[in-house]
Amino acid sequence: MFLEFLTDDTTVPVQVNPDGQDWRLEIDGQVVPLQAVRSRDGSWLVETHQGRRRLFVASRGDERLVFCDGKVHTLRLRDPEHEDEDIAAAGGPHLVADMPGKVVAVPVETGQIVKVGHTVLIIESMKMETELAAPVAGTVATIHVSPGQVVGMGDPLLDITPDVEE
Amino acid sequence: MSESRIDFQPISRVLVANRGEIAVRVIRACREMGLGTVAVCSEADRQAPHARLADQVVVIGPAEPSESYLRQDRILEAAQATDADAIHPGYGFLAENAAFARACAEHGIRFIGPSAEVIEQMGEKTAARAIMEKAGVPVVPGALLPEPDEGGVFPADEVRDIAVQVGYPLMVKAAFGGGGKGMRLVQDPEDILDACQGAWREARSAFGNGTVYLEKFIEKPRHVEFQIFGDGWGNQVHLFERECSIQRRHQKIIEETPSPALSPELREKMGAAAVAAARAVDYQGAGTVEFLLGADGGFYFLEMNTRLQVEHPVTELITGIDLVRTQIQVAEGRPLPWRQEEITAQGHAIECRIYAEDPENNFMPSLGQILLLHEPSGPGVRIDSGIEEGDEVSIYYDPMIAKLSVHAGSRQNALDRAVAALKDYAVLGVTTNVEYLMAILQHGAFADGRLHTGFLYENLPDWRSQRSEDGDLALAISAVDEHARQSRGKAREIHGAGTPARSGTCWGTLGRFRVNGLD
Repeated sequence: MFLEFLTDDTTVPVQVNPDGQDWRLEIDGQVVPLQAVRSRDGSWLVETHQGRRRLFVASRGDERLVFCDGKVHTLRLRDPEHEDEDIAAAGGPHLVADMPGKVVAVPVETGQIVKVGHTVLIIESMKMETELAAPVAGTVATIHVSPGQVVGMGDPLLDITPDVEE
Repeated sequence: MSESRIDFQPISRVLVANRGEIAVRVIRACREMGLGTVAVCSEADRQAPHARLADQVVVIGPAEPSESYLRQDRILEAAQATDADAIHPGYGFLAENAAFARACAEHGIRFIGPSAEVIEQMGEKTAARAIMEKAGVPVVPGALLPEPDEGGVFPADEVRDIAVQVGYPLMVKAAFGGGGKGMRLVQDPEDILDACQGAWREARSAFGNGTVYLEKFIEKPRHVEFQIFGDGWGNQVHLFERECSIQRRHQKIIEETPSPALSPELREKMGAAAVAAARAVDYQGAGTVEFLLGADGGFYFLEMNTRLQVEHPVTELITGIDLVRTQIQVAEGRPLPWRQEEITAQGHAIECRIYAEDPENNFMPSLGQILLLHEPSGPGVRIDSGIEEGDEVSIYYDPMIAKLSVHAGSRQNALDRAVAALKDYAVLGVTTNVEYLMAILQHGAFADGRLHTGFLYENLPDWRSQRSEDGDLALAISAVDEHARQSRGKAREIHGAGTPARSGTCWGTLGRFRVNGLD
């Protein structure tokens, strides 16, 4: 079976086939034999050179979530038909709402020059105020919101035109 | 003080006016005591664990807390409709709402907590300070601010003068606040007016009252609180301390007891102060006296929480006392079952709060469905959880989804136990702080017990996951899992629509059947 995974913006091709009781994988062209058994509670038990590891896998759409020793990995199973949408979602020098909330204050104006870390917006979510800082140095290009406005997850808030390094 | 003021009146059915892990915790205690239980839930929580666990459940409104868990009228209606004779408020929501405690009394329903007057006195931080000062409990130097105008602009000169008298660095705090909301640290006198205005605004929107005051900032303080208990017979005791210095934005994350900072002498001194605080208001029920503990051993009254605390399990683990059971007994009018000298502690306990939030993205709450949940277990491991696999973590409620508490013979053993349990705490679907918690516990300064409320900012700023170490393994198992998943899918297609027949049971050969008219 041939699969493509997206991890940290890198596409990794994986060929995976059962090999007797074990598995034979070809990750990015490199052959990797793997001893992995699915146990009754749904976890995978994998023999590695550091000993046996226990992993849990869950899926949501093309997302694959893996739990291993307190850490969570997020991968994407690549579907070649819908490639471009992810890239568009990656964002540029504009701030979008990470979660629903209410705009409390906009302490900057359009055209204002801001440094990295400069507070450009104060948002209240779950009754806590969060100060959003400029991720880049530059000029405030567009302010999409005003104080008192309720914003939903992913709503555009503010755009900054980054300074050009000289 | 010793004459009886409450007649003994047994409780037969308790309505739990809360949700999540604390509602589950209270319902369990009631069931153990043979009491009837009533859960209330919002429309979003019909399937929630607390709603399922109780004998009866009443849906009290839409998901928004203001339309359900904060609706006093609907909760009281539910209590009357189900013939509940007591209400346990848990923590948060209506737990420290004096008007609600009063309304319960007016409806002839017992509020499991202190009197409305005490809630009121302790809820108003400046009044609480004054009472404690009078009772000889040390308080942090501070001062009230004059009223701002309608836009929250304070009289500049006056505020600057007061601030200088209190001394920098200082804190701006909401008089009616809690949970870190409406709070600002001011190091630079330049920032004082902005901070006052910000705190005023936040306090007004969170608590409906913007009154703020200034307080001297104790540098690198520890947060050490004492569990207290009082009854209606004039008895007040403490159940030792909890160190809650591991905080982020004034939200506690890890709590432990005993505090590594307390000598037996200091413990006795602080315990006596906590009991004095409880006596000052003739406290009845479970409460907590919070202190700031300076590096020099000086301690100051911070506030008194008139409810069960989130972190109460660590006290239960070292004392062997069930705090919720005792709360109910006291509400029935019984005297405390133990005298101060009968309360003993054994071993060390640590609690880790599991939050659905992303430590790598400014600790933003992480919303969505819990796709997979596997909780750790074993000797000395206690889980208080309000979620189950398939549940939705929504914007409406607190992102704390569970608590892991461990108990062991020594601090080091408890630490090892907590780390091992976290390593086995699988939550997939929402991002959690599990790995972050492990990083805190495994930090050298934590192991050394060098704690203070700025610990996380000092020792783990810009924390990043170490997941890349196992990145290859995660990728490999994802591929194997996908292969297994797709093979199973194919197997189903070949065998037709039904689930594969299992040998040894009758289910495989029965075919379609009906139960109660449902397929």
